[in-house]
Amino acid sequence: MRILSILILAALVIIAGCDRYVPVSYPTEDPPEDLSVPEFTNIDPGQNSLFLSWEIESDTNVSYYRVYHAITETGSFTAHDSTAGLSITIGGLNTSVIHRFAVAPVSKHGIEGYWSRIVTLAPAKVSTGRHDEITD
Amino acid sequence: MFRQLMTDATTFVLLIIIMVLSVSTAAAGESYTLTVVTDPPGALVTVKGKAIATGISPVRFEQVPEGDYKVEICLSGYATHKAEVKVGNEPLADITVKLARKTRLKGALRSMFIPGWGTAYAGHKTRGQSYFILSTASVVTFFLVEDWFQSKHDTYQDIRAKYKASRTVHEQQFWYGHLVTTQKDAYDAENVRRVTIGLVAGIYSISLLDALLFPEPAAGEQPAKRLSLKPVISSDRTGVKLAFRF
Repeated sequence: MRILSILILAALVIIAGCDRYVPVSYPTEDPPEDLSVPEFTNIDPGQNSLFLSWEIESDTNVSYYRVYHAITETGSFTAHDSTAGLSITIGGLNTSVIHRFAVAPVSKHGIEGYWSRIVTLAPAKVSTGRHDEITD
Repeated sequence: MFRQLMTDATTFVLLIIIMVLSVSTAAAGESYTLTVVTDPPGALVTVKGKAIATGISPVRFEQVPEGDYKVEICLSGYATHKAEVKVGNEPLADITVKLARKTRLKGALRSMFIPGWGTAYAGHKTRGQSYFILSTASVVTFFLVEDWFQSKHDTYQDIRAKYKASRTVHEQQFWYGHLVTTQKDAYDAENVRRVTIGLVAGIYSISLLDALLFPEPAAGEQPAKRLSLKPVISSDRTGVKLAFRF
């Protein structure tokens, strides 16, 4: 009987000892932002300018769109402009060099989504992606 | 001439007498008596030194050679008393000891500091050693698990920081996969850590409760054997009964 009481008391101590260390340091993190990829609907080159418009499957989490620009085919992209709408006109372009553009949605938390396809503006033509070229 | 011879003979006889007397005194000087009295009586007294002798108190050891001796007094239910005595200064050496009773409180206090010590103190040395080995092993296991857990926890915190610092969905998705895996690892490690903490606490508690709840044997009583085999012979069956006494 004494052994049984000792074992019961010890079991209570073990349970109490375990409960003392309930993990509280592992909160469930929010999953990655759910941002759709923009799809260009209209690419309209003008004199020293380019008009771009796009659509997106769901803009629920989108705060604004960031437009990226790169000069030449190998140049690195930099954030050129941003807009809350679904279109933008980019002016002041030097038409003698190649320009490349892409649009990325940005969430309310400042997280940037996947980029759209890249639009290439060549001196004589405009293309989207590597194989989808549009003649000026 | 005759007188000279008489003088020499007298001198010789005197020398012989002196030598014999010296030997007798030396022999008489090596013989001492050691008396051990205990309260309560009935303790096993062991004397170790130039000679080894045992007896049940009150006991009187005769013809003890001169020298230093270690005296150990054991009585069930009482703390073992050890003393050193120098035989030779006085013809009679007396030791009177009042033995200290073993109590549950003393045992529990011992087990509070070293698990199993109180149980060994109460007379259950094997069980006491088992508690000590188990508690030491559980503490070592805890430290190993703690180190493992810290490693998993740090990895999780590192990945979590990278996930939270992500500025793009692409980065978020990359780190989120790692985050889920490391979170599970850290959670599992914490569970193992909790179990080892429980083990440490449990073994410590069992040791403490054992020392506190198990009664020490009555004074002078030898603990009875717990396991016994008894023959059972009756008209309808014959066999052996195995009994365990709590």
